[in-house]
Amino acid sequence: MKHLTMKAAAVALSAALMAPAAALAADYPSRSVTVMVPFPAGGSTDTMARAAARELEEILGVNVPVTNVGGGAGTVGTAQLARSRPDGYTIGVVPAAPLINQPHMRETPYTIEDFDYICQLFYSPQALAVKPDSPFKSLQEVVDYARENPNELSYGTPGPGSLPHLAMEKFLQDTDVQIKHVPFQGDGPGVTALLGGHVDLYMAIISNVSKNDLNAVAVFSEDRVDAAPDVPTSIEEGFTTTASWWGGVFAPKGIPADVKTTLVDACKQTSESARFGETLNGLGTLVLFKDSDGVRQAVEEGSATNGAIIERVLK
Amino acid sequence: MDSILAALQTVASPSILFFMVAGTAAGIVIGAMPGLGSVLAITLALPLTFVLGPEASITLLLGLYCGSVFGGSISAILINTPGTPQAAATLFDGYPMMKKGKGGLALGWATTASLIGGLVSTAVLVLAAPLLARLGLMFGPVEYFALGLFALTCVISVANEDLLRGGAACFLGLLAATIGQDPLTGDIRLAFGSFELAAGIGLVPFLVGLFALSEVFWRVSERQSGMPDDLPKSAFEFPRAVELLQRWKVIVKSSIIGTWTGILPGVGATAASMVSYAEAKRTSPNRDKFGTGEPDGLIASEAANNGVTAGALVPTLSLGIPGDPITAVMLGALVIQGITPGPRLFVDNGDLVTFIFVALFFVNIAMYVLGAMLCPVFSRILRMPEPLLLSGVLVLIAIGTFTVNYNPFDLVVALAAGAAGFFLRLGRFPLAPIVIGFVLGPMIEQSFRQGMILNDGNVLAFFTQPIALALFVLTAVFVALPILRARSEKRARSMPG
Repeated sequence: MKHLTMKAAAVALSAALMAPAAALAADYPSRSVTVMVPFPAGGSTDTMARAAARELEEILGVNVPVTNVGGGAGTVGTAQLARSRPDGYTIGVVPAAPLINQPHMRETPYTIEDFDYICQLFYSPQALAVKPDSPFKSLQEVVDYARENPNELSYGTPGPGSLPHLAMEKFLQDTDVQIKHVPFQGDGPGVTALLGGHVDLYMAIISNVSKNDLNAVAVFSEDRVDAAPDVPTSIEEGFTTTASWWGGVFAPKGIPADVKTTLVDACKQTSESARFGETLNGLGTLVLFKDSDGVRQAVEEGSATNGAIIERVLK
Repeated sequence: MDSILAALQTVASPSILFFMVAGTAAGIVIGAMPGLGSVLAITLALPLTFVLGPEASITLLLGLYCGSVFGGSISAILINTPGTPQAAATLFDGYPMMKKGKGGLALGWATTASLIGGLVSTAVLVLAAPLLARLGLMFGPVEYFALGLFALTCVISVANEDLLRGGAACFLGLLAATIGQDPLTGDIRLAFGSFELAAGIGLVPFLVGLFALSEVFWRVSERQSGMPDDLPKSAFEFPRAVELLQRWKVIVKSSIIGTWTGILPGVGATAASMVSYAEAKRTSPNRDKFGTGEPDGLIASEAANNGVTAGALVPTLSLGIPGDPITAVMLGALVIQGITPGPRLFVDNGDLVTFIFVALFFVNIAMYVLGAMLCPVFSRILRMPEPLLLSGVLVLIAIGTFTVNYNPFDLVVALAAGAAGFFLRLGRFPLAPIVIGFVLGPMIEQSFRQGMILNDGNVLAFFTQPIALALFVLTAVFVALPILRARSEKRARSMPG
């Protein structure tokens, strides 16, 4: 009896495993599409993914549940995404860091070659915030002071090897000044430390600046940002560095071409949704759609640039 | 005043009441299951909040939050396994009470302490949220380090008489916590080339393995079971009012410690209950009985971890910075509703803030009533035949561990922690100090090294900061006091008369 049940279970299991392969890609999607987020529920990426899932649900006409696979600075979930079945029923909403930073810092079981890139969906320029009673009024003043007093100022980031950390290191390299780096465990503790004046500067995405009434000396982008219209850009200030936190929808390598087309279209529609735009604005993040080729190029370039910075700063 | 009346009216509406009761009850049940915790409870409810209005969503989330933090104490007391990490300090005295046949009373104390912790912290939130949020900013890396060190001293009381084994166990916990990515340099430590280990050891699989799984192994190996032969007749027993009055100092102080720790982002309820436990052990008149089933120890943990609930809402609402992972999820839910917490929330959405306060107050009441109703159900479950119970616990462990992250490696961690727990029990090592080290280690390490960077490697500068200095002194007194007291007792005995 016991063996019989086992056998029945095995048959049922293999049937279940075969089913997706048997389904024609043309019917896509015929069942729910899981969105995987490589960070815990509640973070910026998660909120963004849930907002995107809500749109995808209407566009694709199936359920789009979100699962969070956190840990290892996003690498655990990203590895799981790379391993999942490339049938378009598991996609990931992933920020750039686990792809373009972490593989240079640890051995990851994936490389940027292991994904099919669907689209870029969001970005948020980074800004250099100063503590509440800071004497600095401009980015130039920070640089001048730091040049005369190397390693006296300190700047915080949400973690070592995070996008803000590498962006700031790139800026410090470009301007040839030294400022101490103090990594925190995420923006929560980090921004609090800045508000309390425990660090002089904090590199954060612009949403944290506008949301927390922080003062920022510059935003590292070409154009000023609606969420903080008074903050001048680094370009305006005469510097060349730009930096943003960004990400999009990625899938494991090898999904059928027509499924990919469907997903890219759905992604584009999502980026055009007013409701999606509003939710992102609430997070201080901007909608930026890039198609498959565009986002793959961005990942490749980012990986090369950040790999070089990591090699210099962290190794 | 008008806004309070309006908020009361909203809370009294049938749909809000429904979500309050459903959320709190579900929270208690989820919290009581080993491995299933607050974050899971709230994450499961997230999709619901898209369709509910802001008031109903908030009530549901608050109910799940407070309910699950309390629920964790049920299994901590009954089966020596914290249902949620927040209840880790609850079992230090909760389970010994159970073994003495006072499980019902322990549950009663846990429920009462949770209620008072929740209410005190709600009152603090209502009266002083913006002010406290600013005060919390005074805590920098050096203060975090001092706080972490102070909390670590609770190892001394938990280790009871065997300080050597307790210290070794604590060291083991600290060591386990260093596995994974270095928080300051990003280097990978002690991963032995394994990608999975490089992500570090998760708190839930570690805790569940160490306590629940090792307990299962222990009983299956037919060693002396930790359970009393005759389970307490009364499954739930409210503490007597007289006793409550006698212990009011511990309750109120622990509630305030919990609230304050909740305000500090990134510390969390687990560490809060340990800080509170250490402080109660320092000052309680019953301190000598700590670790052997003393209600004061249980109260210290439970009042503090429920105090964290409203405390964590202080920075969440007034700064837009979540106080812990659970309020982070709630923050996400609020943003999706189009509400942006932060300094302007109190001005722009004053009515909603009032509603949150009122709802939190009633959620705590609901938690008390539902707790009293649900606890007997859980103690009855314990009377199941042991093979059934153990296999049930095993299934829960597996599900709970897996659903945290959908990561099969977490099951390996739980199994390894379970095996380690079993052998440590054989060697008569206490398990609680391991958790204390594991929870506090990262906070102590990171804040120490941050402080060293900021002070250019000068450790003496740590003692020039008044708040930190006060905490260092408390820590030193705490460590030295038992030694001095023992010495003076000896002298007193040797003196004539």
